[in-house]
Amino acid sequence: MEAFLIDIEKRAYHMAAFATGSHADALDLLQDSMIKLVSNYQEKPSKEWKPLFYKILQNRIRDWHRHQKVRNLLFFWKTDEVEAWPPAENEGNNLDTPEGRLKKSQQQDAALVHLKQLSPKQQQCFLLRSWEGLSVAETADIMECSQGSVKTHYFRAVSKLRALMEDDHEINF
Amino acid sequence: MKSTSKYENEDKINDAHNESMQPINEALDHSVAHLSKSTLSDIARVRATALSQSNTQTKSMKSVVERCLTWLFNPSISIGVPVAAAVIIAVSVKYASVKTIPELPLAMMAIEVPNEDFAMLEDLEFVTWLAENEQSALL
Repeated sequence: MEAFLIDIEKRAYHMAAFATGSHADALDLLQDSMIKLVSNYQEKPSKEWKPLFYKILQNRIRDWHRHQKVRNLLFFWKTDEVEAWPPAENEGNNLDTPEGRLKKSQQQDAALVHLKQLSPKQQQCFLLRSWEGLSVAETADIMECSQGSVKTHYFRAVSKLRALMEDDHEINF
Repeated sequence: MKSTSKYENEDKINDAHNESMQPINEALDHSVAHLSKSTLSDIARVRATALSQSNTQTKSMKSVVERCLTWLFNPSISIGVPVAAAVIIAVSVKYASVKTIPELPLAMMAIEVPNEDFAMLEDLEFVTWLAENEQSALL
């Protein structure tokens, strides 16, 4: 189980951080998901852990969004000082690289910014389908929606990302 | 054939999407590979906490089960419980046997009552009343 968590934790953290935009919240969601997986599903076959873990994580992210919505309604005058994500130190690391790599890393940073502009559902769908390489059926199960919805979310996400990238870098696919 | 071509088209579309989204996937991989040390240590701490907490939960569950089993197989419990059960059963059986069926009055059984004789009927009523009185006196 520990090996599985080590294998998946960075990507899971990334997903949570993308969804919440906060380092601390992403860590909280990650910890909750890990605890639930370890305490409730440890006896399940190891091949089932990955979809189960992502399902738990996506449920946590959905709950987080709901809480945020309610919180924003109740305390509309408050503005939280959320720690920015991705952290600025990533950019600092890339300054040491050669020019070509720097340009590429800037493009990659831009790609991440574009990804943040997607709606939460489109983001989830894109990350699960394209980045994690899960099937439509698995993604639908994790997102608790129909396979048709997954296809729609994914198509819209890809179209939007493509449009944003074309606008920024004049890349023709 | 239609369905096959439909799936082929879907696969082609997916492949095209995947190719066009390669830069974003690379960006994500790059971002994961270059997480800061503080973030990595935070993630490791979160994992350790999750694992230790689940271990604690498992241990506490085990200890509860063990405590229950120890209590059940305790000699005083293993002797005391059957004895207490036997006493309860004995008391309940005895209490049920106290409830006897009320006896018919002896006088009423001994006398043959002709239906047509009113005087005898009056006597019968009297005897019944007497028997009831006797019974109430006994109780």
